[in-house]
Amino acid sequence: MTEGTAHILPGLLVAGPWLAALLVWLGRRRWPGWRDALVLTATGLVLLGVGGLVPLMAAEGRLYCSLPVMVSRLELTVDAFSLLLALVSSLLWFAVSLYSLGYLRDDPAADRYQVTSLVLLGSMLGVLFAGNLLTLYLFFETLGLVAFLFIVHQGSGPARWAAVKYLCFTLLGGFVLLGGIFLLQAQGGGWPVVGPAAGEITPPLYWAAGLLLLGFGVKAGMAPVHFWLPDAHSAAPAPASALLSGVLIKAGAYGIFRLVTTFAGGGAGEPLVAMPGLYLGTAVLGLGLLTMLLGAGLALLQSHVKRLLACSSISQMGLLLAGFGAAGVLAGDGAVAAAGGLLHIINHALFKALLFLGVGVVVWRTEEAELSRLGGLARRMPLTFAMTLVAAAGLAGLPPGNGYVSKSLVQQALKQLPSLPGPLSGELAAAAVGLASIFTVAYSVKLLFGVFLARPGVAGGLGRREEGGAVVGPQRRFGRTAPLAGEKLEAPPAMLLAMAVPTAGILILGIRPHWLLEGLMGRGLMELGMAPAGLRAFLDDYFLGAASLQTLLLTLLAGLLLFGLARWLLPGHRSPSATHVTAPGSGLGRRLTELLLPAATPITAPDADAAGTSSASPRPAAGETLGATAGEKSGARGLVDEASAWGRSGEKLAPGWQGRLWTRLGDWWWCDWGRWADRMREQPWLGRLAVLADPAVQVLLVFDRFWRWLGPFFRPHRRFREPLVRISASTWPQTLAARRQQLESCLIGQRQMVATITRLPSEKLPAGDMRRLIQRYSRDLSINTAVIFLLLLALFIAFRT
Amino acid sequence: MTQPQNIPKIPAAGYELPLMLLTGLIIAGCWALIPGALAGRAPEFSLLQLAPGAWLLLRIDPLGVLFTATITPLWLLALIYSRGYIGTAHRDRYYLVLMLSLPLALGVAWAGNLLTLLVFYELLSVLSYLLVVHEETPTAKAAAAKYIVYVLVGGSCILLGVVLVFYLVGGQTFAAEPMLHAGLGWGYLTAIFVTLLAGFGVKAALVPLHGWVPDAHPAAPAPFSALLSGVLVATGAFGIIRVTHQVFGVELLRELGFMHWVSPLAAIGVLAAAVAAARQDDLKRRLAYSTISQLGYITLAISLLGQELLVGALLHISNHAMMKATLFFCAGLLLRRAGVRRVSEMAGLARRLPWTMAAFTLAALGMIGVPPLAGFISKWVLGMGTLATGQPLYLLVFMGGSLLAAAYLLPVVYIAYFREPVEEEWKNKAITERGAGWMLIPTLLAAAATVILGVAATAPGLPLSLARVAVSPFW
Repeated sequence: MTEGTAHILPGLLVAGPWLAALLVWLGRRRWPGWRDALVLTATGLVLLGVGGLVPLMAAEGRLYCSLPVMVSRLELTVDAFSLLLALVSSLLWFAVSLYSLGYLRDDPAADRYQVTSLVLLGSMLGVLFAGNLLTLYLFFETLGLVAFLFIVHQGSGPARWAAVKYLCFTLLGGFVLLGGIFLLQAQGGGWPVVGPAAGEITPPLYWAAGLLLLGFGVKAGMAPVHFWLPDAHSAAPAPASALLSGVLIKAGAYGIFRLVTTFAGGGAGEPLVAMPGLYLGTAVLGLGLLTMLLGAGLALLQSHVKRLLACSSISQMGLLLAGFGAAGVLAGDGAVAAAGGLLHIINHALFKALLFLGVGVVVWRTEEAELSRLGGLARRMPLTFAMTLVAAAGLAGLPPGNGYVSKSLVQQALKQLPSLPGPLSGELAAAAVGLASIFTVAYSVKLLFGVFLARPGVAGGLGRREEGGAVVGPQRRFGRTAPLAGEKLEAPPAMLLAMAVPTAGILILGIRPHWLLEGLMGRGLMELGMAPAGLRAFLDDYFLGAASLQTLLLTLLAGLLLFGLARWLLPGHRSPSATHVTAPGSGLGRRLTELLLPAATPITAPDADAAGTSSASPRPAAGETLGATAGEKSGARGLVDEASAWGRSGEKLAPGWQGRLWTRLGDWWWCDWGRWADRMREQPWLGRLAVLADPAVQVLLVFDRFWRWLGPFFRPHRRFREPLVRISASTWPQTLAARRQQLESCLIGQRQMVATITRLPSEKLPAGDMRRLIQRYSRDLSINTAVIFLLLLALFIAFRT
Repeated sequence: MTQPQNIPKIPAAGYELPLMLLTGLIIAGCWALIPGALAGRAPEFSLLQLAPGAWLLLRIDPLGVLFTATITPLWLLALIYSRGYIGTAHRDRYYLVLMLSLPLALGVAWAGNLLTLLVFYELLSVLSYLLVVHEETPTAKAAAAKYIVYVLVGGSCILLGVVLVFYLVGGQTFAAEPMLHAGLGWGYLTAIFVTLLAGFGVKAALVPLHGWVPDAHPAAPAPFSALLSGVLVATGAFGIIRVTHQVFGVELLRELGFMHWVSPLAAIGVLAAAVAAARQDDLKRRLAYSTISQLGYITLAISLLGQELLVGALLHISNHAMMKATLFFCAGLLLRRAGVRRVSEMAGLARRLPWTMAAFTLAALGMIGVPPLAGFISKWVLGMGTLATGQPLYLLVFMGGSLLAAAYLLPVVYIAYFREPVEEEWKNKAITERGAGWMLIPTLLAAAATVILGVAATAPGLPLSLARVAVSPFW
């Protein structure tokens, strides 16, 4: 990028946060208040600086900044797209930093968090501003590796496991990316305009494009390589999750955008001739659709709030990748698709960050992240609820929220697609997006309903903590032991303020997208050679038009129907065992229900009901019918409600194996068939339908029980059986711990094997035997050398004749 | 688990500081040669005549200047480190041998003909025996015996090759044009190539001949392990460069096609040694295998016969020297300060030894090739060179090697930082970095050099520019 104006500001913006990180680290012991002030100042200044680039770029065109570093030069360039994303990133960073100051107030590792955050901010801006491949790789790799500290931050077993998983993926992705960069560089390609200098498309370029796509895809959570994402994003603390999901994965999406659009080449109005663009675009489109559907399905199945959000991130990344793919296929006419994808990057950043922040407040206050145990918090934290509602509207693509605009842009663009290689077609793609939207509505409703609206679960209803019962749920790291009853649950003002920033962004972008689409984005698309005429048409005709609203209404209705259907078709949901006691026999069925619809009807324990702390449960839980439960009522109440809700508390009372067997039989009978009969009697017609679905669950349940019964007798098949059992038993921490141990022992290499030719005897060496040793070594060595000689000579002779 | 001994302050021998000053002067002298080398000058000095026609001859060409400019600072760092590491037992012998081997290493770098190279190389190798055996434990003695056997057999191979060359073309000095030519017959040429390659390959840890490396490194004292990995092993690679590019020459080698056999050998070495490294629990042993793997990089790059690749090989010699020195220094600190030799015992040590583990992490990331550290630069140059020579498959070997480097180095970092110490008492032991300044400062300096060699790689006078000058006459 030689054209443009040299300016130092981009360099300062990248280096500034790193410098601030250094200062925070140096001053962490001496001045306690230093960190907060410095973090806010630094992120605020970066925001101002990026904002200052806007008029600067309007006046002087492309900016660049260059420094001789490493093998070539460190080059930063700023154009419309990178500036746009940098604006959103720094805005979110500022808001999230403000939030994190409150969130991590009691955390001993807060310094490390803030340093990590600042370094990541610098790296993120570096990725966005990168002006050549070397710079890109430098910042991309830094970003990937340093984010490890975000994920490992909480230090618990699952967090460490997730972090290691993330690191493995990141390293692999980094190497794949580097391979692509090597190939591209050797062919004379560059960055951010990827295309080769000569315009000739050679096979290595296909390889390069594929490798780059895969490398960026790992970061972006693209479908075949997304596995790290749900674990990593749910393990990090809330502000870190907001940044990870909101901003950091966009580095990958940004890379794919650059790759696809500039590889496609071609100017405005040029017919589609560039084959690589077509193939690459189709590949990205297909992968994007796959990612989208997969992520949406996964999100609907999650019962952990943050995992749900993380899976939804995968889905949304898929949507914007589909947009980019369409832009690649359409080349010069792809303005709508490209704008849709880019706008969705921004929108997703805003609403997903806000969702993580809002849910973060809930988790922070209640120390509870299972959907089934949350609920009824809307009245306790109205402002948080309102803002999360706005974000969910954005996520679900409903009009005041911003997701609506980008989602319909992408959908419109997909309908314009010409015929594609392979089984894909534009209509199919648009239909897939529609289906994913329905899923999105369903899981957004599930989230909102489960956390804020449903009948209060344990945490929201404060049934247990008040009585000083045992603390269940995630282990507390830094003590906040006061009971929740009298406590204010609403977030503190600073955090609310921090959350208000993205809320405002969502509403502005949702109501007036014209400013962005016709301003900065339009300019960027022009530069890219895409005519923004389609955008104008979209804004004039489709935006909030009748057709659009009709589609929207249908999607909303279908989504609600999906949610309701799942809610009614499945047996009443009950809280999963928080103490991680595996429920023998009921594992699979419970897992299914809890997966499919955690928060729909949380049935709290009758004990808690009797104590008057929790709201009434709709009907008596089956466990109550067991005589054993009654005896427990005076016992340790904190644990009882958990166990009795499962109808298994009898185990504690019944002595001996006969007692246990009897209890289990009774449990099995009453828990399942008794409830079946009960519900058949009590339900209205829709409910009867639901009860009819029960046998299906029962069959699965029996199957599961069969596996378990089979277990001890079937050792040879253990490896085959265990994954199944693992899935059904919701004992996450235990399995995680086991697998982590497995990994660690594998990594450090428990079994020693020395691959040398001769192996030294260890300490037990007879002192006088040096001569024999020397003889042995020389014998070994001479044999080796002789073998090599002979081998080489034989090869040479064979080669010569 | 070895108990962490609370080491008493080691009394000064009195001659450490003068030795450091002397080494500093030698460094200054070696660095003063850089401008001349950048200008492409190669002055010659005859030392003495051993036999008619057989001169000991020094020729200070850019290649040698690059090598000396890299290794002499390592000597200083090792000296400073030894002040804190080496106890009073056999101390005088240690310093004597260490200081004697410095001029020998310079002689290897500046050798003007094969005979001089052989003489200095053999002396250096044999003298190192005393450093490997320094601790005089049974293990150390056995490792040293293994070392000396390997080195002597390798040396006799070289001697054979040198005699053959003398017989065929006489005692020529190293120059841009190669000594041998195709007219000598392929039998002679094959014999010379195989003997010289096998001889230097023993030192360069070429894979079937690497057996001494994983034993000698854990047995030697840490500062010498650093030199062993950074310098002595590199002299083997240096010798291979002399042989391939100045004795044979690129065209002759291409014509003979020898390198088609060497490249796969080196490639297998890179990967196999890295896999072996991941299986070691002894930290120094793991690092030793890593040395074999990284030296395989260098041999592979030499054997592919590309200009940019040779630059990458030279660059990697110096970058690897710095990074591996850092890692071995850290291993020594862990041993002395926490009594820990094994990776599995390192859980939670980063809290007690923060600077050590920071340096270790930096060097490990460099070894993996994370930008902007030194290792990334050599990886970049090697990668681009591989593509330029049109053998993209070997790119996979380079990438695989660094990926495996992540597999054997990052677990160490992870365990030290994130795994909880297993035993409760372990947490209460007095493990601290306080008072370890003599060891810590060179470690941090080497780590800083890893960063500088990466960030400012293109600065004139640093290895990259020197390597380009040194390599240019061969093409």
